Amino acid sequence: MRATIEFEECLKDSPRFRQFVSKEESDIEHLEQRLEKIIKLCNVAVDSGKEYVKNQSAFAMSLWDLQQHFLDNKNAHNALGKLIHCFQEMNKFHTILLDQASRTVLKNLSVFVKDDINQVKDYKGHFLKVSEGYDNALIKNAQASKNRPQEMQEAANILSASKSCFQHTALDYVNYITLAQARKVPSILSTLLDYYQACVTYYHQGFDLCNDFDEFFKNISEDLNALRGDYQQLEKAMQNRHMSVNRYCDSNTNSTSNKIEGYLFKKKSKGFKTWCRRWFYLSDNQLVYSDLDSHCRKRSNEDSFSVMEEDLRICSVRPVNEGDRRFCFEVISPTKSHILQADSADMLSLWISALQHSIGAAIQHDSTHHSRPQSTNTPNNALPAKRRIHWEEFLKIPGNAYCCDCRSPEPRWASINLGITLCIECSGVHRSLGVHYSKVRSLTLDAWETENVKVMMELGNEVVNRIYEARIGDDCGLKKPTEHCEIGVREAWIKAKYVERRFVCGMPKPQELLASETAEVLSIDSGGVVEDGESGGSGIAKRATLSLGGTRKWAVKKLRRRQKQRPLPKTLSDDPSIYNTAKTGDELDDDDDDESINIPSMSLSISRDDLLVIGDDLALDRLETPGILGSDQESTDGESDAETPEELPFSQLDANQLLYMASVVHNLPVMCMAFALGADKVWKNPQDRQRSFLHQAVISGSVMACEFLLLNGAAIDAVDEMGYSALHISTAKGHIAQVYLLLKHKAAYDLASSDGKKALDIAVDQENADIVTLLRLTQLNDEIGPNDEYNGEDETYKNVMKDFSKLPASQTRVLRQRHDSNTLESQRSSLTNSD
Amino acid sequence: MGAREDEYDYLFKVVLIGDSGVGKSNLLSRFTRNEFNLESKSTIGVEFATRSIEVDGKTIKAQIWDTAGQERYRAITSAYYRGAVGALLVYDIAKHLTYENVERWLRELRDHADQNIVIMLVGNKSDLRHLRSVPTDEAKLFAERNGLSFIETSALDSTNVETAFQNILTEIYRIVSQKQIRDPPEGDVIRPSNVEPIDVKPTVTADVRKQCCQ
Repeated sequence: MRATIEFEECLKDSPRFRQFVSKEESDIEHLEQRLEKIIKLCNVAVDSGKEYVKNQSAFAMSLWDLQQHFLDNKNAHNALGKLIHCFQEMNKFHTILLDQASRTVLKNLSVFVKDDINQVKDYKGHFLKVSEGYDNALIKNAQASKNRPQEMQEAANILSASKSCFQHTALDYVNYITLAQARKVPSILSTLLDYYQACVTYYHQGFDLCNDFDEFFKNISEDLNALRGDYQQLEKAMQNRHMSVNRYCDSNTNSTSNKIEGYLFKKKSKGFKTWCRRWFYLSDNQLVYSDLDSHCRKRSNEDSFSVMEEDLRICSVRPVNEGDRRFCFEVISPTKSHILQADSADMLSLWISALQHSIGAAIQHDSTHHSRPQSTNTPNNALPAKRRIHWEEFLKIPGNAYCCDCRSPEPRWASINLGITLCIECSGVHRSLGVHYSKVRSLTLDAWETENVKVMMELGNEVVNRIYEARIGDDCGLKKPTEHCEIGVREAWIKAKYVERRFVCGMPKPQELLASETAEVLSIDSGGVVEDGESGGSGIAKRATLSLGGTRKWAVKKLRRRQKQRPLPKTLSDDPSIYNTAKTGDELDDDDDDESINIPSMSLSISRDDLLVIGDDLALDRLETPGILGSDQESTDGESDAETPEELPFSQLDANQLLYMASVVHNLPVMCMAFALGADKVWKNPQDRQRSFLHQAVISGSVMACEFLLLNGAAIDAVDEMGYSALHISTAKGHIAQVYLLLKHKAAYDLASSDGKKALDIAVDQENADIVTLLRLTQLNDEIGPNDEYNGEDETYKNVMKDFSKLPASQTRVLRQRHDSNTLESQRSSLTNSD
Repeated sequence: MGAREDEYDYLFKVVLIGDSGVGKSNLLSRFTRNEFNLESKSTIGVEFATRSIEVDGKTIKAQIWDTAGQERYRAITSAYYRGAVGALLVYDIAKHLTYENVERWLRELRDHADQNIVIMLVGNKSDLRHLRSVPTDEAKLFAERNGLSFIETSALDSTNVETAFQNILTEIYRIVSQKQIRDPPEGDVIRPSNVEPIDVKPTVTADVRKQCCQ
């Protein structure tokens, strides 16, 4: 207990009292300064604590963000979540602590300073004033003259009053001082004790929290050890990283496998001929590269992979030494050539050997398995349309599963102008005949144009053999070739069959037909097809006994192929004789030209009493046929002239007329028959404006029929009496696909008709942009001339032409363009096209 | 057809594109034949013309594809841009809509043409001063922003027609010949066979290489 002062001393106003007062005053002053400093510092601490808490919570938020990064790792995600939660709890505790600090330290001490100390200070002023008054009273009293009793009395009164006042004041002052001094210790201590308790609570909360999480974090540190172990292993593995460089080089150069992939520089074939680095690999007999360059820059409108060579079997590889760049090699296919550059001589030889190996393997695979590898994971859209047809579909056409000549199974070759499949031996013989008799292609190795596929679809071994082997029963001094027969047998047979056409039946003679009421007509009907079970598989041509009553005319059956099974006319079963009447034809005409494949056969049959329809056969109507390609569907799509076949008198029945009429209705089997019967390739119809077969095929709207005629040597530039060539007519009809076909077969585009018009003039008159472009482009290409080794422009031309070949037939497009007034272009042209 | 009437070192395909009626065909006829026809008809499909110019002593043959501007007269788009190394994108300074449509044409170029194609924006009909609706500065700024060169021409009074073609062909030549220094001859550029191959001296190549490798 500190020293206080006796009240007596106060009353006496002794020097001890004064000493006490001044000592206590300075003591309180000192205390006040300390306390104020404490309050100030505590404020700073609380503020910085608040700042800290704020930053802590921002830190926690950023941890939440980090957690999102581990969405794919559930463990890490959970652990982080708990940790962050823990941090946030701790932060919360901290907030509470700070709050407590400001409540206790700041508030209590402030109150103490304000109430107690300030009271003392305030009272000090009062005390001093009173003390001064007392002093003055003492002085006055002392100065009072003896001679003036009144003055003495007055002074004595004042003195006693102020003395009393002073004494009271002094006592009060001492009271305040004493109380303040007495309270400072408990106030301060209790304040700090509170603060201490807040701290204890803080740590206690923290401890509890940690206890709760203890187990979890133990698990984490166990996991951590495991992870650290993994990491060390990985690190160890990575220490050997540089070893892999050497090993990689070794394995690269030693590898004999045909699995190869990697970066090559590729020279662009057009435009700027720049070199770019692309990732190449071999896949399913294709050479493929990624469109991403090595910096992952991608052209937006491209797929990520391009097929450079679709079929390695038709490619060859050779190193390129000319030119300045090293390590170049060339991949050559029948239509393209690509220059590629490897990174080193080793890589170059590796690529070349791998490619050669792949090519070898692909061919090997093909010949052993007889199947083209299915491209399952290659980008389909990178393949041009013409390759989408699987060659095996060809074998589904009736008769095509066996060689057309020797009947050996699994033919892999074809004659595209005859529309047949062949085994390799027979194909060799066909080649030796020359291309004017037979144009041989590989089913598996060659790229097939759509129109050639269509021709194949229309014909097939069965149909063709009905024509070319119609009479083997009659006249067969020759030995029929078989699968393993000698080459000589094959040669003799094939020559007799296609060159001499010895087994083709003769044209029905009108005279014979007219000679008797009932004539036995040698029809070109059904070699092997059993129609009624009677004639068996004898191979002897079935002879149709025809009641020729008043037959005076003939016509060629217009082919109609349907995908969907159409209900047959009811009358069919009742009365077969009316099946082919013109009336039925009319019914058929009501149908759209939905032509699927039904292999027609040639036969003569009686339709109407006086009409002989050629090329009609019911037996094959319901045959299972592959629905690969809508045959001539698209090329005749816009065809409107679906009139009934023209009828001609028998006096005009000969091979040329037959071909002429068959061309109108694009009946390929009959056309094939007409060629077999010796139709004259340059014949023109004197009765019909001097038009040729090709004119007729063009008019019919068929691309397929044109192709068939051109394949079989029809004169492409024949003109009619108006001087119109086939190109003129197809242009006038606006048939882009035909124009493309004719130009591809090198039709003369600058022929002028009698009225001086060239095809281009017609196209311009008709405002057919595509045909104009095709014609002008072809002309331009010819003007530039063949560019020998640097066929740069030639390539552009080829590519542009290819673009056109992909156009679906045509008239629809023209119509659409003409009538489509809603395009933005027409809107803008209406505004801009004032001149 | 085989007879080549002229000889050249380079053959560049350049396409003329832009809205209908902006004067593409007249630009072409002014450049190749020095002709101008006020009454010219709409182009159908495409028309071709060629002219050779000299750059750095080399003969450059420009094969110019003048394409139809009007949608109904246009052939399939991809055909126009195959193998093109330059494009003159023409608009009419007196018809603002033709300028607005430049964006569309650029998009078509991006979709169908080689990504290195050199494009020049051409404001044609500069003779129609009193009817101008596209300010030169605006078009110039647009061209700069899109990395195109820019010129205003008049096929009618011949202003800048020669310069426009000369500039774009020179630019293409620079690009192609620079490429050639980097990856020399070997059939790199379209060249007829009866012309001396352009030999790049090995020393030059070596120097360039050295600089690269530093």
